[in-house]
Amino acid sequence: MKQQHSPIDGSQADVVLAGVEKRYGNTIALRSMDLSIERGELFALLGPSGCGKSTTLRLIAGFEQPSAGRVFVRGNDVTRIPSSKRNFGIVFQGFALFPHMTVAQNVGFGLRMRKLQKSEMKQRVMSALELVGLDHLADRYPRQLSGGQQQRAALARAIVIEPDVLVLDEPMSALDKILRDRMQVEIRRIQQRLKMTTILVTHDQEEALGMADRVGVLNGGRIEQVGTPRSIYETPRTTFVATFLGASNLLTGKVEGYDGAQAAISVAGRVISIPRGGLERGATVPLSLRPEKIRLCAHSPFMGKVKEMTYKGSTTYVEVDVNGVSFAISGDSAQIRGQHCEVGNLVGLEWDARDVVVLEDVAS
Amino acid sequence: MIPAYYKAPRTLLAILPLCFLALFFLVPVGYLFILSFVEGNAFGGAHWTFTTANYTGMLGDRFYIVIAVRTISISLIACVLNVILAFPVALFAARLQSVWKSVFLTIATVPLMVSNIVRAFGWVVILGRRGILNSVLQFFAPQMVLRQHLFSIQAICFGLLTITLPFTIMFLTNAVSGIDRKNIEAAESLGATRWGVFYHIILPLTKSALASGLMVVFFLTLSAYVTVTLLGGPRYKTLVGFIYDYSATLRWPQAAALSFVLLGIGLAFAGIVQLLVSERKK
Repeated sequence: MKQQHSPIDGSQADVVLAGVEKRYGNTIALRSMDLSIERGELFALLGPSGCGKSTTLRLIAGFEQPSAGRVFVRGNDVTRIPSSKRNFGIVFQGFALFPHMTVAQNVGFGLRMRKLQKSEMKQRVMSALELVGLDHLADRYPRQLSGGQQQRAALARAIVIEPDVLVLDEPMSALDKILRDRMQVEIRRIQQRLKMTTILVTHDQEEALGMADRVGVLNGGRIEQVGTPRSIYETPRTTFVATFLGASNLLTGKVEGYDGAQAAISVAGRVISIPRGGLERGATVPLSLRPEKIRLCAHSPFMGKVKEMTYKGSTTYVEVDVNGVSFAISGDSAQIRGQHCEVGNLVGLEWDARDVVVLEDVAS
Repeated sequence: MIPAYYKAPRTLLAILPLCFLALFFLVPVGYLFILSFVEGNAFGGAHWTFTTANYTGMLGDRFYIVIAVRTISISLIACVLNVILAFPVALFAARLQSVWKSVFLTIATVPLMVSNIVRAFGWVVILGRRGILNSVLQFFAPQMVLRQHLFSIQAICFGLLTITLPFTIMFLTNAVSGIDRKNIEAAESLGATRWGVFYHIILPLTKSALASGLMVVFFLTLSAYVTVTLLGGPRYKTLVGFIYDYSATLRWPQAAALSFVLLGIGLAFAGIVQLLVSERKK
């Protein structure tokens, strides 16, 4: 293989997609995608079904070839290299354990294909099974395992070959909620211990935010935003990102002018200032404000009538109408009760200026 | 849990076909079994005295041994050819979209819609002295023109393949389609070559279908009469041909004995195949 450096990123990048595109006939599954995944990080590809995340995964794993663009792994162009030669460990959706092999045989398969010596193979299989806590079930068949155990077996099978890249394709989809939470923590722990570059493909935003170092949000075959979980949650760039990652108040504001570095924007008949430049005076801009960033208070320029209240235990959901614009608020139940918040009452809303995010697309 | 009132009619339903089979299969076969141990007479009847001569006579005769070996060989060759030819077809067909797969399987089974006799005559037209094969060979490779391509083991095998291949293709295509595509991709991602995927994943996961296919092929070829007679001619007879000859000449006890030898061969093959399949499962 010829050593070749990626056109976009430096030596830190482990997996690089450069202008990768995938078309099936006339339908475009993936539009010119540039992505760079760093060594040792857990990168989540997040998006709804049909957004192109599975296609991206199949291109990275080598099951399919891009219609255009190149894929680099550790600086080597692997675009035309079949998956059997890429040294990727993949945990498939539904796990895809070989039904006719025991757990140990499943885990040992990749080593067998690499023609390792029996003794070394046995030792590595056992230590991989120990790592995932499955060493006592080595002789069971997949059908004799629970969902969580199957997932551990699939994970052991993927990491035992010491892959360059670990790929997790919707790894939690076959598990129930409690197990899912536990496995998220556990997979993250194992990944950090092995310092393995990992790509997580998921439609579950909690999973992506909770596990990943960085998240790439996909929509319609295009990456909308890449960033740390905190940055994409708190400063979404587009309406899609704002709404896909949890609830958000999507507001429409009008740029009235500037006061120093602060843009004055009118929302619901009031003017707020946002620390943000580069907006055209008089333009209409879409805004995002997370429900949990809004607090209730007695006096504020934003006074409104409580339209709806839903008690959810530790939090309470409130809907307030301000000048015909509806605000969703989610807050601590005790704090909200302290504000005499009841349906029909007048309450004030307040938030920190930096929590209002100006989105880049046109509000719908 | 199946309630009692539902169970009773189910047993009844099972009894009816079982009675049918008992009456029209087990009874005649039982009668045939008894017949195979009595002495025949020259007029199509039997002296009802016990003898094992019908069997020992055959086992002692080298001629019958040769015929038996030939019969088994033809069936085994058919089995091997079926696997070699049907597996690639199944691997191809299993990857087709469901509509095209149905179309493909229908086309593959078209030969079964034609009578055995017509199919065999088709081969006569191709392989005969003035057949298509010779005409073509005359043109391109005159040294390969034979007086007769018919009446040979090869001709019999070709003929039997047109009967059995549709079955094997069907069995294997369904079995290969049943394999989760992700299992194959998992094996690939773990470094398996195409051959490795076939040997370690596809073959073990289709072995019970393969066993069923092989048994169908073996039984069908073991008992094939029309194809063997038309394409093998008088020189290449198999055991079935002799059963026919015996019954045509009213030597019922010998015909019966030979039938049970054939049945024994079939059962032995089935036993071996089942043993091989289950042994690997451990």
